[in-house]
Amino acid sequence: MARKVAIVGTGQTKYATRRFDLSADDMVFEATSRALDDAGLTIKDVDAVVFGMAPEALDGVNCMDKWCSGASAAYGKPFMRVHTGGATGGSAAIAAAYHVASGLFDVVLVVAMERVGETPDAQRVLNRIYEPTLASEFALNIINVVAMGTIRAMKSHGFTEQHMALISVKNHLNALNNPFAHLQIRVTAEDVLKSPLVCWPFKLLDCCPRSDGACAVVFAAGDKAKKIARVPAWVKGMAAVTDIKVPGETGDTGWISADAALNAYKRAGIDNPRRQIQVVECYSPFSSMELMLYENLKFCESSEIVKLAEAGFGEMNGEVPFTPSGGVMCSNPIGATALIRIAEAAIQVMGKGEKRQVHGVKNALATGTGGSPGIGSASFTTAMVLGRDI
Amino acid sequence: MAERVAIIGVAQTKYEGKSSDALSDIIFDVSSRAIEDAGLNIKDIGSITLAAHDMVDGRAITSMLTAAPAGAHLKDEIRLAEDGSFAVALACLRVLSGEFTNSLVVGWSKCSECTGDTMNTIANLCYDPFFYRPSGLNDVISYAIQAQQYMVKYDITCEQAAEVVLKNRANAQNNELAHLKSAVTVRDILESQPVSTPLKKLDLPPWSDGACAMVISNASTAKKTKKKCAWVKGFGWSNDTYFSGEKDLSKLGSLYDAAARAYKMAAVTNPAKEIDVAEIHDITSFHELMEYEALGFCPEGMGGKYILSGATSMEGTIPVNPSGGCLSTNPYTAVGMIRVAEAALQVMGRAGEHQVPGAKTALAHGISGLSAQNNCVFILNKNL
Amino acid sequence: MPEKTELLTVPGVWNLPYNYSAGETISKFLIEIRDNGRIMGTKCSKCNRVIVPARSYCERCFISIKDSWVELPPKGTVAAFTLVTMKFEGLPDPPYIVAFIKLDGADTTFPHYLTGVDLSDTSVTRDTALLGKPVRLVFKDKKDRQARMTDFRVELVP
Repeated sequence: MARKVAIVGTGQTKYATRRFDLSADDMVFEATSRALDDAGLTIKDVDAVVFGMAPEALDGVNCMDKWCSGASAAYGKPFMRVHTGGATGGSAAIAAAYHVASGLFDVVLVVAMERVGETPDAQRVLNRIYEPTLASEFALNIINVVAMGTIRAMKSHGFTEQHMALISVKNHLNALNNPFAHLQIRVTAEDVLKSPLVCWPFKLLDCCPRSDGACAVVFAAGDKAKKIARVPAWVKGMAAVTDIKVPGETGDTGWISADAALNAYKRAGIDNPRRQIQVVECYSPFSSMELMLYENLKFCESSEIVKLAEAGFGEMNGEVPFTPSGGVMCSNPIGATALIRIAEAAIQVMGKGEKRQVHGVKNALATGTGGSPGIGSASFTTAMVLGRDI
Repeated sequence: MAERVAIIGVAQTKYEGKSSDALSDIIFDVSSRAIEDAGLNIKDIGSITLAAHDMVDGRAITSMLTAAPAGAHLKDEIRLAEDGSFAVALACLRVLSGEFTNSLVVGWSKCSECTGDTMNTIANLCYDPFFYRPSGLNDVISYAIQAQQYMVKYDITCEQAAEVVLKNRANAQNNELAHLKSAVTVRDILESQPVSTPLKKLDLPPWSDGACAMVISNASTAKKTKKKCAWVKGFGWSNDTYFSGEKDLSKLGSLYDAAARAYKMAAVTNPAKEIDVAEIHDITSFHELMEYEALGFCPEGMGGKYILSGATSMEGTIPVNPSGGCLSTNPYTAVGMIRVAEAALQVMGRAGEHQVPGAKTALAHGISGLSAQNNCVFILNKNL
Repeated sequence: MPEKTELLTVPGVWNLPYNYSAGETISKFLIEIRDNGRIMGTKCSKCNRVIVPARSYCERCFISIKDSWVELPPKGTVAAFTLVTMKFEGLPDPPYIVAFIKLDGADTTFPHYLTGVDLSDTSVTRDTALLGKPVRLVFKDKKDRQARMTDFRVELVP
């Protein structure tokens, strides 16, 4: 990409099971206003808007983005809505960055949201994402399909429920430093292991919550970015890859393609992520996923996952902090979640992390994941490397 | 636009009311043919940009199941829940960024899989649950209200609107892919079943099954190909307020803006003179008339008189919808992309029996969202 | 001190009927189950993968494979599984095991319930031991088959 792009501001709402105090468009307005304020900009400065929202059945309004478009500063502006399941926030951000990189727009806002609280049971909706003529009768949902992949990975990579519990403990502890986080509770490994069994090996505290919330991020072109933000978070490299697979097929490693991160690294000039990336905001709604990402994101070999987990690799004072924000396990407004990863990574680079700031951040990685393995089924992955240096 | 992009391959399905093919097979077929038409192989495709709606497809994350047949395995793929013309716009941005040499764009709907009144119900469900949904609005009713306001403000008549249907349905007979191919008379139109005043059944499109795909390429690759290309001279899109009660319903506000953006980029100052053919989103007969005005083909309020002048007929100065338009073929999400495809075929000289002779510059337009909230316009040229 | 506003919620229910076209290939696959009690897959001539349930195209090689049919035996292994112990709205009452099954000779898998496991002692599924265990397909009587994946059940071989 010839044109340099940077993040110059972010905004988030406080995530909660339900935001009874805000309608959907109120929620979008809050996140959008905060992002513009953070960047010191007004609606007049916005050249275009990209909106991210995931399955409408979760929110109960079809194409809710149209209703909320005004609240996203898009009145009279170019506007389009992205939907790639859980990766939506990441895909929307990447699309916004391409708006700027194309040369046609200088300041582009990306806003993403979800009102998971409007439906009593998200998994009932997520049961309808699978192949309707062949897979609809078998009670598949996101939790049990990821559980199935986890069991395969436990066998091949050797980690246990105990290792998964450590991740849950770490994320809940980190969330206490994040004023926006939904779940702000301290848990012990024993709490996690004793929490109700959802579908093995997932107990309740291995899983993300259902959250309402919105997030907004402002992207700007190189020269403008330097004028807008004291420390812009430069997009060093970004990529998205769609992987089609079914659990247990020939060659299945238990996890989805790592190509999005690898492509982003290449474009960012990262050849040793463990040395060159100081913080990771990864998309992992389940404790086991974060462990898999140690290898998937090339921070270690698969045989080292257990060792890294036991050494506290991803803790706040570990070698490479993973999800200082508390991550998806503590806040999951699905369509916004992958954008929140990007916002939190930008916050780290820009030095705005306050109590959750990691020291000495030069580069941060944000990932997104959507869809799910299944018959003829796609998993969507996104990755963005943000850095202090242009 | 410093860099340029072009459409180098196009494919469409034979549109019909009820296809017995699986949705994934329809998508695989049109995607493969677009890649082939571009003279490429799946290996050569750098990125995929899709347009689809979950509720129309009846799949809670439709691209989970429809990305595979669109060639997305291990590719950079993204999906918009917008009319297909917006996916073409995003694909252009992706290629203009320099990150990709090309993008395969695919859009579809199989409206027949929505049983009973599902298509109307899901349109009603687009409205907020507090103010607009309880009034029973859906897309048809929202368009009817606009048509009514337009009629009243400018004395547009049902007969003038009927001319749009007459023209487009007659044009469809020269489009081998069109869904509705039977002739209609003005009488048929005026006496068709009233739906919501002033709209009658034949003022509205059918529900269709079908898909459209195209390949957007960067300039250096497009220049090397021996094939005819459709160069993107300009494009623009714009979003109006969702709250219909807060806008002037007699005109398509965001289309004025989208067109202005596209014309500026394309350096078009006199559309009626400079555009040889237009494929626009005739979501109702009255809307086509409103679109003439918003696109600057004629002054505001003059859409009815304009069609009577014959200017938009196949023999006129700016033939509109030689393909038969949305009124003949309406696979919902794909409609705007089909307009771009048909405009491309015109400047490529490949529009067969509905070719406008010598067409060099074509306009394409797509609508996304109820009450024509979001509009997208493309200007395509035969030459760079 | 401002008065606390009463915060309302407004109900809504979606009930949307759909009718999905299986198309030529999936129809043939399901009809083979109904009429002949057997599982057929399609094979890609480029990468040689055998895809079950049958698909008309290979998404990796991006070619049509709808004319290349292979019969699979009614037996295979557990490729992935989980025991569901929590109730989800609209889904069956727990406990039940959902699994992805790989038939012998297939390269892909399909989801199904796994039967023949004693669920009164759920500890048997609280480790990875079920992975790779052999299963067999048990078909309903022909008169009861409806050309659906539920025309057979998947049973752990004792």
